[in-house]
Amino acid sequence: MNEGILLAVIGAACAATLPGIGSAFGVQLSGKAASGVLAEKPEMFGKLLVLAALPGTQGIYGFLTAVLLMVQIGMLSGNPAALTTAQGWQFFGACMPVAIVCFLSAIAQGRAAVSAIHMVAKQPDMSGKGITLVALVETYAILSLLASILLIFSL
Amino acid sequence: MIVPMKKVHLVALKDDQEKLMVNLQKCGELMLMASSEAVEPVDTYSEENIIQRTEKSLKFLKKYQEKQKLFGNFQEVSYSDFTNLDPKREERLSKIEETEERIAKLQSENDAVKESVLFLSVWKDLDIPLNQLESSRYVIWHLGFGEAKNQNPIQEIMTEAGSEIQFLGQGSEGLALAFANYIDDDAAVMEKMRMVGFNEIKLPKNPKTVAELISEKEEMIRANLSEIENLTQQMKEHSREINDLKLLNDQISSLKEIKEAPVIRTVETIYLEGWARSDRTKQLKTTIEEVTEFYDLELSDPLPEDNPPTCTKNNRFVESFEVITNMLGVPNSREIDPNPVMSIWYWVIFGIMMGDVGYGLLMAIIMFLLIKLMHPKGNGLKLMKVLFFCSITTIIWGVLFGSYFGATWHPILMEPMVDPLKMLIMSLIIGGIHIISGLLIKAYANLRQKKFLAALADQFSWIFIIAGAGMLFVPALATVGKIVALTGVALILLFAGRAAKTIFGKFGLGLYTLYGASNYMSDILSYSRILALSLSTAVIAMVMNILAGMLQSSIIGIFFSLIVYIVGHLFNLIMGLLSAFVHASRLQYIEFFNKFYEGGGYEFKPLDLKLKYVNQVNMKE
Repeated sequence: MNEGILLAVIGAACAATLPGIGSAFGVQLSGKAASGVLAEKPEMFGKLLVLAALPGTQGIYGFLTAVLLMVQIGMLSGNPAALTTAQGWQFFGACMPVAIVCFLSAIAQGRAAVSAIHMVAKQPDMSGKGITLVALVETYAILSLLASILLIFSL
Repeated sequence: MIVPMKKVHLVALKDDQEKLMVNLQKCGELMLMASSEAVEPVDTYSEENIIQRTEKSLKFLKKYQEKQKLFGNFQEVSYSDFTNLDPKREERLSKIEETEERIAKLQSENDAVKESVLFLSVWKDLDIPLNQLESSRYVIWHLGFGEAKNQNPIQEIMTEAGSEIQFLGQGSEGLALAFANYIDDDAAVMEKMRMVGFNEIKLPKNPKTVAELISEKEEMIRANLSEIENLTQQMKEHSREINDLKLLNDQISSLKEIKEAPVIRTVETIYLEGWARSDRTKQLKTTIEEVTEFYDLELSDPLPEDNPPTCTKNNRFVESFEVITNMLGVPNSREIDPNPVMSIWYWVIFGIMMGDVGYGLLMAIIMFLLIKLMHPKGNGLKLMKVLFFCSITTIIWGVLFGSYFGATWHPILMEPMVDPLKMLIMSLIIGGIHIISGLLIKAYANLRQKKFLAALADQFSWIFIIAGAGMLFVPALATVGKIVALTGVALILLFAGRAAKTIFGKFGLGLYTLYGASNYMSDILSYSRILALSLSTAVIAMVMNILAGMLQSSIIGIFFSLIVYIVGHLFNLIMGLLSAFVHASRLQYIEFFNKFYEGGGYEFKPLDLKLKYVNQVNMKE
């Protein structure tokens, strides 16, 4: 395996692991809050499920980026292109937006989701507004995903 | 559209109050306003008590229902049955509560007895009745637990002292021992016993042996169990009549609603104040006239300082999407109903984000089955309808993108995974048009109020700028685009600052408003999430297909790959639905609504039957 492919693979690995860790922590935070609320109000499960699941999307974006990179350098079809070291670094860099931003934004979104869950526990009719507030954090994850995708596809 | 409300003032005779309230509740046309004067607090304690008890008993009964119905049953009741308070239902409620209490008591009694049986079972070989284990003049009895490994040393201590010992069963506390010592040697023996880890206990005095005690207790357990069996049978029979309890709950809730309705009373008359839909005032009149001909009904238009409730009237398609707007906040009664335009956009954008024929078909089938078989109510039903309608656009965009459960076949428009840039541009164009339509709604609102200059300066100017900027990218329209965009800029510079006093102020405010272009830019960029979401659904579907494909080497492999297909695509469907729902809603709430929406209204909720469990009341009977 030449160095270029190695660097690209390391980039893809970062894109797959860091957002996944972030989402795991984010969903953990919101899952704990939701369990607490359910102990007192079992009927709110549906609303809380949506809020608790929202921080999970960043992990998917990271996974997506890794797979797209593999598609772009031809690894999935079995004939990896011969990348130079410089190109390897380019692909590595292309993965960095998603890897770093999704990692941190997932944890941040988890914290926002916890607050939204506490709010919905007291005001069950406001779940739509709570979801909107939590979804605001996702804007930056999406922007980073877009940056990574555009970088990968223009290399 | 938002239906205009009419304010209702109704005076009637106090003697007619009961029949009038019941009839008003039956027709469901009048929303009563809480008024500050002279409304006495009502005692609804007995109603709330019954409601609480029925809800608790419904929870009990669920356990005893024989055929756990996966699909809810559709309970339809005639109106005459609904208003008939049969005392048998309350009796049944009391019986159910009694039976449940008795069952709980028997079960806890059984648990306690089982505990003591467990404790005694170690001693069951002790064939001396317990009250004869008393110490006599020469002998002292001891009972207790020792360590099993010390059995031989203990035996030695006993033989040495000439005591009699019986080794009994092994328990969690050790080896059970019963022995008797000569009274003179007792202290010495006990000292030695303590050194090998002996713990003394006392058993209760009882003329029976341990074995007899145990069998007595087991008899008690058996008797309790058979009584529980009987009572469970009774509960099962009750559970067949569970609809009775549900009906009782809804009846009492409706009665409570009437009791709590704000009615102002004088000596002989009552006064009701409220809101009704202006297109249904005739029905209201008919309802009142069914009860009495002595009334005075005054209908007036709401004053500017009044805050009437909001009632929307839309066709079945748009009506389903009202839940999306209402989750953010109900429109206020004076603004334009956003739902018709929002529903189309939501429908389209959701479809692009899911964009797969297979998933669309699954959505349609699952939602159809859920609605038909589970008879959901309220918000659950509305959300299912939204998803059902959105499955149509999902299928359409799936055909355009050529995506069938993640596999690509004959894409008609483009393939998002191969052409992400083209897809990005399409998303941004959709965003631009969406924002323009929001601005058009606001412009229409302004024109309706004859604010022509505002419409031109605030809305059309930006529409020109956005459309013009868009056209700049198309080589054929570049010059047209430049002209249109510059017109927009000029309009803003000239008129945006019209509120300011000086010419300098006007231009300055105009320039400042132009900076708002950055807001518009970020709004349009936000639509790139359409690309991101549709891509993520497509890629995960593709990956699941690849994973499943890798397993198809052997017969067992085919079985596993089938599982991977099913689990993987179901997972992708659910995650896709969640993301598409949240982000399509977010695009409406933030990018679209903030161009024109005010909100802050409250829903029109007339006095009507409270149906929490009953599905439908047949008004004709």
